Amino acid sequence: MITASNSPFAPFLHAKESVFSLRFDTVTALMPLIIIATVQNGLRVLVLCALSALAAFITETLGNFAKLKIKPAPLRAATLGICIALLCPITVPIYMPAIASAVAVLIVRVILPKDFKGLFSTPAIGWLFMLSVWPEQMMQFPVKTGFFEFPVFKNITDCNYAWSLAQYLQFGEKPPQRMLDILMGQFPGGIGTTCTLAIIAITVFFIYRKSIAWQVSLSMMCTVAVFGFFINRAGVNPFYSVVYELAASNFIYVAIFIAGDIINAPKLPLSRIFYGVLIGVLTMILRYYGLYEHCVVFALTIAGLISGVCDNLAINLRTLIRSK
Amino acid sequence: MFLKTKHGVMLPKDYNIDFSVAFPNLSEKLYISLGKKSNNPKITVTKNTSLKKYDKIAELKNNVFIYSPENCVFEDVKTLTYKNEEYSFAVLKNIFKKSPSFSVLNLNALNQKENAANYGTLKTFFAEASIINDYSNKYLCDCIDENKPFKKILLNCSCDQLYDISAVAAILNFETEVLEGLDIMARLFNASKEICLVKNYKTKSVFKNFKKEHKDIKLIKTNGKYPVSCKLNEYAEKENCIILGPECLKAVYRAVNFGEPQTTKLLTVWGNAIYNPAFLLCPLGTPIYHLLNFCNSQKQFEKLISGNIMTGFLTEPEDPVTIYTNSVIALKEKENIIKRECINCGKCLDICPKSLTPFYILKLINGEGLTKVNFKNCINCGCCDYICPAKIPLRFLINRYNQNNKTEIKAENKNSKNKKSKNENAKNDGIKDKNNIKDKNTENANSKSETSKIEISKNETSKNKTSKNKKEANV
Ligand code: SF4
Ligand code: SF4
Repeated sequence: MITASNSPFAPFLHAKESVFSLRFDTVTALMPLIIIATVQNGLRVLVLCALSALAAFITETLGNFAKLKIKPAPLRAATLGICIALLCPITVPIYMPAIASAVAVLIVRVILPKDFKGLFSTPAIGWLFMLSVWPEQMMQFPVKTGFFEFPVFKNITDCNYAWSLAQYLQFGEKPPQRMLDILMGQFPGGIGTTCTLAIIAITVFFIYRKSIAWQVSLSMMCTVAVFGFFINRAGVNPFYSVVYELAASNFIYVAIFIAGDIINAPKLPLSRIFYGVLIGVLTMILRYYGLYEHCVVFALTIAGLISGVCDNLAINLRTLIRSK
Repeated sequence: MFLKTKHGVMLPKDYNIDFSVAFPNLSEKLYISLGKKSNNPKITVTKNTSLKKYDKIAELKNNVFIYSPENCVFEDVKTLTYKNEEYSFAVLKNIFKKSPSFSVLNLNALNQKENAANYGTLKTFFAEASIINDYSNKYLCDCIDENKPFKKILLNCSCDQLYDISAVAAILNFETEVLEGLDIMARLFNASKEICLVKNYKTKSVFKNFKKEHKDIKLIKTNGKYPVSCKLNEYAEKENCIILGPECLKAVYRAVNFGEPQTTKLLTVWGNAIYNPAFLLCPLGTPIYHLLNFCNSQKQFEKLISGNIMTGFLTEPEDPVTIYTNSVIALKEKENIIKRECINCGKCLDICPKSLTPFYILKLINGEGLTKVNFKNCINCGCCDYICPAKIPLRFLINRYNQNNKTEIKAENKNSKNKKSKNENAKNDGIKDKNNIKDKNTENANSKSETSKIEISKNETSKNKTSKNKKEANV
């Protein structure tokens, strides 16, 4: 039975979903990734995530005090902080994701002019910042062999590093990992971005809750899959090549949690598909012709610039079809 | 046949209500709506005249007659203001005398034209009988267009809103009269018969044998996603059919067979402040507090809504039942909806049944972003508003922007017409003034910039809140 809302206008019935519940969904969806990463790497994961989330929240609160038109939202800050922390290798110093979160909040919510705010994804900006300031730390991945307890607070200096999937593909070599290991996340990569099966399960939850622009994620993945199938960089079975391309450099994680974020993605289904395909194509072009491993973040930032244009085009196209 | 609504919302449905229709006892006074005061309704009786049931009280602009629903004394005409518009109401005092109903309509003229589909005659007949199409809440005569003859008559028994199931209650309780009415309409207009209902509906069993019993009526099912009317209207447009509500067909049946005009309204009274929610068949003009009393309303409620939960409006217990009152909803316990800024989630775009872009319309209203956004097709369903996680009153904002735009376009057209005629006069006089064109351009630019920024006026909302909150019914 419904109760009286405080709105003086119809409709007097509203969906239970609120801004809070949307953000809560994202934080809930990130939890399994944190748990899996903690089991695999120890409590350092929790410290990285907590510090990063705290830094984002503190920056928002300070921004509010300084009257910078930022309203602090704990869940939004938590999502951002965790999202950024999970992108880093476990070996990064614990202050790194925290600084990146704070900088991302400052850039997206304070520095960028109003018209550009919706274009850039905040975690992507944080990631970009880390890649440009600490490129070495961001591209050194420790060997993943089942479960290993990393020190919680100390900087990690003595550790066995390994090539990531992207690096193998870049040199046209076949990655040594088994297919099952890749699906289970047992390969060098970000803290919480490697467990492909868990991410796919979370996607199902997101689609059920309608908290994701699934058209973007799906079209991104399909584009990369098609490229992977036909341009086989590692010279392996084309189906293996597809899996390698999708799993390399946090691609699936970015497709679901960053590019698929409904807030930054274009709004119309057609433009979402176009946007996803564009990110996929740009990623693959940058992977083939670029030297940088994390091409997807660049592709995402470039595509973000024209996300508004995608919608504009789709609206005009719709109007044109209707008028005919 | 199955009409599937892809967009829209599946509203919660709670059918914990008795489907039988109750007849409330007569209120001491009835307030019969005569429409806008500016339309100058013609009162055909003098003050303190005794009226018998179905005596004419007034004649409206579109030749619709208004009848006395009971034996009453005509007291006076009262004016009430809604949304800055003055409306007239005939105040009738009930005198509790019974008299047999009698024919006021000329049926003989109609019978001869039964199959001729003489739209003009039938329009006049429906206007005289004051029949209301409860599907669109318009007078039936206004739904019929001589220039657009229809081939099918679609009886709408689908219900898509929480408790807005008076259509089902009507067909369940007055099945014979409604189906007879459908038959009469089909014969009068030489049209085929169709009936629309919601699939998986609780009353599915009732319609189970419908196909066998009524082979000449085509059954159309919908999935009940709100707003069903959007899909139905599209279907009606495509198939050239008129959609009628069951109460309207019942009224047609009674008008044709017994010469009775329509003076009643079937409505649902419900809400968590109502102890006995019910379907009521009550005379038009009955004060709402009388119905609340009949259904055992709680004395304190936060909100009293007239019309549907998605599109209705706040009302007062003293307001009378009009042709728009599909339901009366009394709600207690205030839920604090926290309104926030738009978070760009795009959910409003996914849900719009007319495939509009409320998110971009909002940007247009606030003077940000796109300038070419279609908002004129908005059907005011409120789906975008329902789903918005930031609880932005999108329906209200779009509606107001649309109306402002309409009035402005009208004013602009008027201005340009005036200017055109002035220019022509000047031309005739041999004067060519180029400045006129400049003026026109600057004027247009000014008017556009004025409309670009619209925000909900705080005064308006706070005024509404204070006056409407915490009402006490006169029960
Ligand atoms: S924009 Fe209009 S038609 Fe579309 S959902 Fe909102 S109120 Fe309904
Ligand atoms: S649903 Fe509400 S919050 Fe989301 S884009 Fe539309 S207006 Fe903005």
